[in-house]
Amino acid sequence: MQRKDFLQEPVKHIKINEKLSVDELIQQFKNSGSFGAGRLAQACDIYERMVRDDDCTIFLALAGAMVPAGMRSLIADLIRERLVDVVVSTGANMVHDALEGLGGHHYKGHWLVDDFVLYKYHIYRIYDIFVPEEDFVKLDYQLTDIFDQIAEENNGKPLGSNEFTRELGKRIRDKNSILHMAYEAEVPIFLPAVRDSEFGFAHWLHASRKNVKHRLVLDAFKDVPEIVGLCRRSARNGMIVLGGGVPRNTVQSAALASGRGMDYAVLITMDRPETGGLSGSTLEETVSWGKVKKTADKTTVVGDAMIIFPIMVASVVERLTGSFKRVPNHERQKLQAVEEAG
Amino acid sequence: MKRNAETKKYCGNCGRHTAYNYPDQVFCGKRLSDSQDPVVQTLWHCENWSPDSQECNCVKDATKKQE
Repeated sequence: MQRKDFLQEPVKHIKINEKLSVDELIQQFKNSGSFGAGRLAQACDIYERMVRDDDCTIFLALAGAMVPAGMRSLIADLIRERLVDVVVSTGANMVHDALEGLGGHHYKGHWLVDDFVLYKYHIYRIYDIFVPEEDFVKLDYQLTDIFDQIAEENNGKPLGSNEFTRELGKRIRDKNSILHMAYEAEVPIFLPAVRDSEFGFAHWLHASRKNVKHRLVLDAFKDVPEIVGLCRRSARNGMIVLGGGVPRNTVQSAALASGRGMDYAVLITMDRPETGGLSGSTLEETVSWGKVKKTADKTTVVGDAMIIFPIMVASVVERLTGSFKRVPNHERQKLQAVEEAG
Repeated sequence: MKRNAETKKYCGNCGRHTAYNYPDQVFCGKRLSDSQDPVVQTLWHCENWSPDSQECNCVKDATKKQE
């Protein structure tokens, strides 16, 4: 490299006007190319390339309290429009989806509050969101019946977590529900740590009743060949990670086990890499494992996913106007198989 | 009166209750596991009443509402 090679592209300063759309603002960020603005613009471009790549399966890894905070409809819409193909989530996010789907609510609150007063009123706090305990209790109560039905219909057969979410989605008839929309669109939702959520406690209530006829059985290992197969059958794979943790690890491990490695990766996190924890580990580190390809189209945006991700989606959706309609890779494979058989 | 309400053997004083329709009704996990209707009045009490009271406002607010 020579000196002049470092000085190729001048920073263009951000210009704002009163008619600026979301994607136009992102283009201004791209012109500056700096700091978080530059990375966010890069993330939008990578997501657009994932969506436009006919042979790419898009995995969305979801950790942190995204659904209680207001991301529910956005994710359901992404599934409806086939802009993600596979969701891997914490159990809690799908619990909160079910909570709203079965009549509960999340409320705007405040982080500066006397938590013992909340305790005395049976109100739970998620940073600045309040959830009435009774909405959880009513959810648990309804889930005990739903678990009864699922166990009976499946004759006690162990289910993978994606089969479990499908059964839930069949029964939550709410068009804004992630679980319901995934059921309708046949998008798998994996919950690798399903027990570590209210689903675990609802299962305890369901299974510990004296007269229970069928106990719902989940098989955590059943998910592994399913998700690895999704990666293996896809010519290219991409992941969008909100937060990290177990969902990110599940997606990346599938990429490793399938021998594919991710071709595209967008990571949105506020965690740091120094602890060795997965939520903060860099995408470069994942290259050492073979989970993300060396040549992958990738970026990390350090920031609050509640701000970054809706902007990213709004920008890309704006670019997809017109007749663009994405047919997911696995649906195309099914169509091809039918055509070949016919 | 307030002191009396707090020490009475109400379901809303029991350590096993959770809110169901605050403050009128509470959910009893013990009754659910016994396959009985788990939703009971906050100011009702059963023979399984536990002396481990919760520090919550259920009984106080249910009493106030009833008065």
